Amino acid sequence: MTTTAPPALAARAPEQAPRPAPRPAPGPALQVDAAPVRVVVVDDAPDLRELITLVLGRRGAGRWSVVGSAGDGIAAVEVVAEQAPDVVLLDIAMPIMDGLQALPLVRRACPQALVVMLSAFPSSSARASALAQGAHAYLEKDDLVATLVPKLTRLVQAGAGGENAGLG
Amino acid sequence: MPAGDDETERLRLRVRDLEEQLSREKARASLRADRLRMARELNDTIVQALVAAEMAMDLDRPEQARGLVGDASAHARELIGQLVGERLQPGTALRHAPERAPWSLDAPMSPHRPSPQTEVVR
Repeated sequence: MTTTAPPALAARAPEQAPRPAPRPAPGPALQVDAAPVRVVVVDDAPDLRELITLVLGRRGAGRWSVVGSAGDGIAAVEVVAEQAPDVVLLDIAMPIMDGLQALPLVRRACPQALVVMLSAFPSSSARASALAQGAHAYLEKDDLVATLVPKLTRLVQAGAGGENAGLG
Repeated sequence: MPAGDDETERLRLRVRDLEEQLSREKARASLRADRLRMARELNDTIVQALVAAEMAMDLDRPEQARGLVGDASAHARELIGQLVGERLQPGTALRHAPERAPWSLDAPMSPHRPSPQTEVVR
């Protein structure tokens, strides 16, 4: 999971770097040990939605609750507005409206939600674009079964300021 | 040759150069669009299915994993079929008919290097 500016951006002079979309000010971090963290899963592959939900259920020790899911960006905005989740897992490559197009709408629909972009393969430009548009983290769908819950836990515990928490 | 004819000839050559340049740019754009389309199809079908299959295996769901690998295999055959211009049945080996393949099967494989197009695909 990448939560800091990629080297290509970091190497630029500050005045040349794209201005990131404003994120909510780091508020009190969510307590993963308290009420379940409410998650919306957005991916166009039904199997992946099901499996990610299963991972959160099995590996999350009851601390994660998937409260909604969607298969494209437009449906994602609707579900996020309706459910006001704590975390949105947002796939990048989707039909109708992809994750990068949906990202600002999702942020607007639920400004307090932490948005984690998911991608099936590494792409520095997609990562940079997602973070510049206000995503809180970028996660490749690699070894999700082992890594998803620990990484989300660290992000959530760090709160909205998680991009500066050194999450890897 | 009168000066006017020289100028006409110069302009004619210039127009021809520009037309050739435009034609090359169109061909490059078309190739790039094809590669992007293929990359998107690869991601939307084969890569997604294999990622899900890996997750299913890790979650002790072998039947689901098998189904997803089967889906990936079918999509791979379909994509190769599009490339070679015919439908491939399960078990079809291009090695038996290399003339159908749009690449040389005898050429040594080069190490994978991400193409610039990969960065453009989301």
